[in-house]
Amino acid sequence: MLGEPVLPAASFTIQANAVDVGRSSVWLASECVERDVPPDQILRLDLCLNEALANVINHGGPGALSCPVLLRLCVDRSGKHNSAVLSITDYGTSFDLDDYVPRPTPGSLLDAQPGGLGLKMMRTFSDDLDYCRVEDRNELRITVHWPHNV
Amino acid sequence: MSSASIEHEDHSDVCRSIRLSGRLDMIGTEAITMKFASLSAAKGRRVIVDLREVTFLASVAIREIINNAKAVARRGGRLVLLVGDNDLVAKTLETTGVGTIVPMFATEREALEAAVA
Repeated sequence: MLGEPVLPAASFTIQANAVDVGRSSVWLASECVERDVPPDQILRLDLCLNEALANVINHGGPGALSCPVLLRLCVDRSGKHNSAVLSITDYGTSFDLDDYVPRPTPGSLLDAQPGGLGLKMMRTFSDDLDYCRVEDRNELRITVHWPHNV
Repeated sequence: MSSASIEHEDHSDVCRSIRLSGRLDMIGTEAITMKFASLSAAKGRRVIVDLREVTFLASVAIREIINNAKAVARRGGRLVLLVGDNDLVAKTLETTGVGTIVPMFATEREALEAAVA
């Protein structure tokens, strides 16, 4: 309902590895359910989280793999629509979303090159995707919105 | 532990359905990768990859689908996708452009016809 306050944020710390990616999905679902986030929005966040953590693991370098990754979820019902913001903070190599140029769709199957799919998926399944570098950390913010009457 | 699974059904000597189900995230995909490649591998094989029961499709799984489709094509076969009314999977495949390079069908009959054509 419009006007409800911001619910308390939830946070979770993981290591950048496949097992903890699975743990992070369980955590996300549990915290979202507790905050009445609709299932389809949870799925969108989960897909984005999975892709973001895959990028941290595959492209973040030694810093990303040796340091914890902090996840933070904040659900806000006070605006013109509900929103859930999932922040992912890691100590990996810096990157810039604006530098990423999507590969053109290949003309044939045999021309197809793997890679670059994760960011494309995050852009599709999120409503906002923001990145900033804070000191020696990357912070990626994934936002989804849904109407008040859901 | 993975919630993904893989099963297969042979329609003929050359045509096979491979049914993937559950959560194809990093761990789920790792669990099915070897068997998926093995079931797809045969000269001239026609393969229908059934994704109707997939609940989560990460990019790592899409890469495996592309890799297997390429391998099948190089051996003279064809791999097609069956998505049914699984909108999430269809949207993910369309978003990533996979739907334009690996034929995607809503019904089993269409998929089977395309695979053996």
